[in-house]
Amino acid sequence: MSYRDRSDQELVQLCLKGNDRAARALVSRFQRPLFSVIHRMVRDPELAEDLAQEAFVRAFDKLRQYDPSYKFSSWLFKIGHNLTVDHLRKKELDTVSIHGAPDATSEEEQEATAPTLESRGERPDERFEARELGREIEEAVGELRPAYREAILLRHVEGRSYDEIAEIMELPLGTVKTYIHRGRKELQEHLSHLRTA
Amino acid sequence: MTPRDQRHPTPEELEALLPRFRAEAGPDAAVRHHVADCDRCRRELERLREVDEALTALPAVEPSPGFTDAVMARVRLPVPWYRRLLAWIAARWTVVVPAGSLAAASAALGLWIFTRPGVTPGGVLDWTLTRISALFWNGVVELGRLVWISGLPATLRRIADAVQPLEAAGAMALLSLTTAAVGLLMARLLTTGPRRATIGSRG
Repeated sequence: MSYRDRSDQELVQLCLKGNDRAARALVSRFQRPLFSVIHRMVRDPELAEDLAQEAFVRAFDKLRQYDPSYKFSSWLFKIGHNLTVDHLRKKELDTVSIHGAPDATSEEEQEATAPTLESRGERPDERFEARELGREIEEAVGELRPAYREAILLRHVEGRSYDEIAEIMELPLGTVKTYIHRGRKELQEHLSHLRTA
Repeated sequence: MTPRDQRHPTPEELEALLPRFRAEAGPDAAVRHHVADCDRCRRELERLREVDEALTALPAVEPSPGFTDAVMARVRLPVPWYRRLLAWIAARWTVVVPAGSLAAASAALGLWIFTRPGVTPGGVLDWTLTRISALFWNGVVELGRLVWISGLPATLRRIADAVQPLEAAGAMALLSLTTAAVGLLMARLLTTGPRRATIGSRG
């Protein structure tokens, strides 16, 4: 059986025996979702990579403390969440621009650090529309409070259950539901002009 | 059932009506009927669907291509005990190999002695302690004589003549074992293990 076909728990067990390839498989499996959430939280690709890397390194370093009754991905996201929240607290990045890294000093730099759309083979005008729409949505998500943003991203982008989100964010289930509900309301307001357009 | 018969569903109950969340909880039939009859809830569901579709349509963001390698370069996986033991031995082979060889040779010699006819563990212990004591004091006396008259070859010959070969072998075996054990203990105490790499943290 290839490493790609193995379950998270099997890969974790192999990692505990010092298997590098199993660790690599876990990194490959979760790097995109973890990076994606952190990136949308800190709005800086380089910083997001550093934080995501750190999350993986800490996860493997503390692998013996991992409780297999939880999902490995939830545990990893929880570590990533703690690192990101610590960073946001330190830097006080409560609201940041969607138009690139917060410390970008020129338009080119902002453009280079702004999130880009994946090409899905659309025509140029469709691609432009999709790009604009993507920017609008990214902007709306970026304007949410970090806690709402993270809860919303975990729910709607990563498809996590409420219980998992509560576990990752270390919040009571009721609080998570409230955050998601309020986050949606704010998003609806931010995106209302798209509906009327 | 009409909307008047039932409370409006919670956001989570409405969410369960969206196809992508259906598998998680499964929509309640009563909720479905309510929403079918209630304009307010239908509008709410539609807004929820729009938000969900907008978020699902967010562009994918990927880390750089070298991300996995960068992580793996920093990862320290747990190491099983047998690998740690081998690493420990490899790092101290100059001490461990001679000490281990000496200990093995001593053990073989000890085994040979104990398998001789008429030799019992109690007897050997008694004999060894007596002989070690005798050797020690003889040694002290002979060393004193050596210092006094500077006759080293004669002194060694006298010591050799005073001890039977079997007795000497037994004493040597026990002394070697003790030396090896003390050597290993000292090596363990005086040398530290491989330094653990620290995880870089971002301030």
